[in-house]
Amino acid sequence: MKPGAANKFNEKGWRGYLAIRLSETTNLDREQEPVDLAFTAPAPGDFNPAAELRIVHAGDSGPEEIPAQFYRLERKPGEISGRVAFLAERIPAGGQAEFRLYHGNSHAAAPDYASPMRVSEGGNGPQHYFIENEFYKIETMPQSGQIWHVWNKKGSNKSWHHNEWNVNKDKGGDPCHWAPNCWAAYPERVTNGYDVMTGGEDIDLIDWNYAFGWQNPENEIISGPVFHEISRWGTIWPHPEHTNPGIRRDPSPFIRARVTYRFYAALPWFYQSSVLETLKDMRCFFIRNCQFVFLANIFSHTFIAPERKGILPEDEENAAVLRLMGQINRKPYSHQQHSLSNVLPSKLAYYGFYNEENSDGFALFQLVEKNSNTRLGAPVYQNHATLFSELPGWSSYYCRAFSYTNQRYNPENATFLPDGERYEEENICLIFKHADPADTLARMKKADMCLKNPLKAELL
Amino acid sequence: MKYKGWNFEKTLLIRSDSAFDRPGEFIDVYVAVETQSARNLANDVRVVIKPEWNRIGPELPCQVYDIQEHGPVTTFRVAFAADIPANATRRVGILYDNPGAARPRYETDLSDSGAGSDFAAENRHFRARTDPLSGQIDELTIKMQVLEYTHLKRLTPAGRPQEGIRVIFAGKPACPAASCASSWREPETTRIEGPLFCSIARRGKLSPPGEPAAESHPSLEIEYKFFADYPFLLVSSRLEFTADTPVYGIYHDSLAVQESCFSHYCFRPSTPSLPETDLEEAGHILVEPEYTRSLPPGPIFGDFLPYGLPWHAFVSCIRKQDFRFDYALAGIRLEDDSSSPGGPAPAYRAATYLVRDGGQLAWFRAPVYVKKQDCAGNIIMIPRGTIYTAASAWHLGEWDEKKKWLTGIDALGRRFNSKLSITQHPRFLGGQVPDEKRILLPCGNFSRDYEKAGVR
Repeated sequence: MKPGAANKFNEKGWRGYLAIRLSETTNLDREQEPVDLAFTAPAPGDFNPAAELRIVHAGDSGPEEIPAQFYRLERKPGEISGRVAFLAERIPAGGQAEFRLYHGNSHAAAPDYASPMRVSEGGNGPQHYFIENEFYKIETMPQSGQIWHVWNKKGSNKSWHHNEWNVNKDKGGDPCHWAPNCWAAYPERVTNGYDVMTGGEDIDLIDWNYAFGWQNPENEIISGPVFHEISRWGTIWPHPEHTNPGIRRDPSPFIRARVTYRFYAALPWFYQSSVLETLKDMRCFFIRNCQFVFLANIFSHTFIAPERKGILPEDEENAAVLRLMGQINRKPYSHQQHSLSNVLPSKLAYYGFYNEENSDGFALFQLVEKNSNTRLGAPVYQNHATLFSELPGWSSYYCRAFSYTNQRYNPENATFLPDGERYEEENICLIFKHADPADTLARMKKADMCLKNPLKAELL
Repeated sequence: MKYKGWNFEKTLLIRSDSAFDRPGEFIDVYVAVETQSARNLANDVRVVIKPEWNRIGPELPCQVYDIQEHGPVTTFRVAFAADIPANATRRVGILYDNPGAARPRYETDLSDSGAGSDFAAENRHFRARTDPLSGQIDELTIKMQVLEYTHLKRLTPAGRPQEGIRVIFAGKPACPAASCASSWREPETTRIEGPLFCSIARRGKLSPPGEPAAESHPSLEIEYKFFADYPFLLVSSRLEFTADTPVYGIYHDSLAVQESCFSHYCFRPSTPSLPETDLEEAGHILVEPEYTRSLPPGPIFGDFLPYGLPWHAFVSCIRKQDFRFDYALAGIRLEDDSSSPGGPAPAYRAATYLVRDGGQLAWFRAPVYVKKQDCAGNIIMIPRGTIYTAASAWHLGEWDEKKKWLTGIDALGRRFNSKLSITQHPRFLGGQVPDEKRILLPCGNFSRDYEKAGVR
């Protein structure tokens, strides 16, 4: 059974159920809407969680079982608690629907929900996976597990990866998911920085402390018929392939991160979150998150939508659609990286790209940006903005900068970051097929409304 | 002695605290003299550099205007251009009171013509012509000099005078009615002409379309000022609401150009959280029709451009077939103020907007911007007595890929917004001097926008 697909459910033999009421509160028709909620149900000693929990839609045509994923389950005497995820197939604007969590049936067998998602090991490293559903195929990096290649199966089905370093071109290039990351600053090193303008890819004035430099970090995988979730965490060391081992550096950890992906089996989008923390005082030339990077020739246009902050209830925001210059080599100054300077706020409603010829589309919806210093309260911000970078023959990307120096490598522009900086983000990444600008913008606006106003789920 | 016959002299001490030289600085001072020494001011004023307090150096061309007699005191203004070195004080003498002096003739590249609202001004860098009915600039043509040839390219749309100011009145029931300065018909006009600068100022009521001018309608004043030798002109506006007025929008500091003339829009923000040791970075948006045809008309970059951009520009870096030079038309912010009785002036979605529509590109700064103009809930009420003022310099120049233009415009903005200190000596003891009226000068109030190490 596919997630979202329904089967008649026989209530006989089940000990009871918990009623779940889903309410649509933003006046939008919903389809394939994910629901994820905590529950606690009675569970005698011989309770078999794999077989004795079900989600059932109590609709007009009688109870229908739908695929559900029960996870993070915890047994206590006489009860079981945990979370359950499922998709509500259709709820009209302003409508309600009743679902039931049935529990307790010692004769029930474990359900067999066929998932439309395939997850397979890539074989080139401990974090190397292919995750594929009807809408996309995603490959993770063999060592770090960061998203490496993305294919839009409804579009060009061409890899969207990125090439930062020439040395990686023949090895599949560099990842699409580039963050969180930091250029740790070492401006006092007397090194090849003096030759920075004359070539060389790696500058000793910095260390690349990037999540995609992880070597098989600690991780957790939650897999089921509704979603496949991968979390990784640990110290971010200087990237092993792009760090000069001959330079003396502090060997103690100073940045730690956690990155989570949740891929839904039946949805064209996936969830991504990260937390980045400083573990001791340090200096940086930049520190960023929210960064998916694509080859410059992948997309022809970008769109950006602001949050509604300060806009009257009946007024409408203006989304922007811009022709990318990197793709067609029309930048006025060929080496100026950030096309939109630093005028974009650090938190947008969403942004994205599309290709008007092959219909590839990618959008990122920003759910959460939360920054603090765990000791001091307020985090350090120097140039706190969303930056948009594009260069011909290279890449196009947005990133959120907390501190970002425009004049790199200068000792006076290294930002001091105290111990306890903590940057958190949650995003939704949508892979879509573009038709025309007005249609794409309307779809993005609706998706944004739905993603930021999930169904209200109540356990009655 | 060359200046035999002149009886009096004022001394100006012009001090620059800037770290850069200011060649050809335009200076315009308000001078008070005793009326008995002011019988021939239109002819006898001379401006001279003074290397020492008791030495007279070269004479500077000057323009005397606005001579006003107030009983025993006469006031006038005198404009001239002087080279002011970095971090230095320049002493300048203003000689006057020579009944026998004849008006000097100075060589100038500035010329003007027309009458009433019909005005044309031209120097070696550009040509401007106004719409004869409204007095709004209709034509702005850049001149590019190569050897002995001058190449001309009109940058503004034909037959569509600059709107200048747009107020979108909220009519009843919740119906938008837009009125622009270009809909003025022969407003009251003041002109100044001379070898150093010429100007035209117009004032009148900005009434909703179809309504006769009424006292309750906003009062508007717009001025253009053109200079000899400089590749820029100044544009200012002052909008005053004389009654409580419901609106959907107030747009000022606007400039519309032909879409086909430009390839990019360039903007330079000011970033408060960037350390002063760092560089500001200019942004660029592709606006070339060949690549933007499929995009919807209207605002190109949403509300993302800050209201207080220090400068922005339309750029052509495509060497068009008919004009094989790269050029740019930049707007540098000089003044921006708003006030309302009892509090700040209303602002809603205040931003700089870049708009593409009907073959033209336009920018404007909107203190009030409503997108959905058919809802009563979106009406913004502007209280009586609210005033919005703005002034900018529009610079026409050659664009280059080596960033000479980019750094040059930023340096010009920095210079415009770094004021000189000008003191007059000796103190005037001849009677009560009327307060100096505000005049439009290439001097701005936004030095803080230029505190960073530079721009790239």
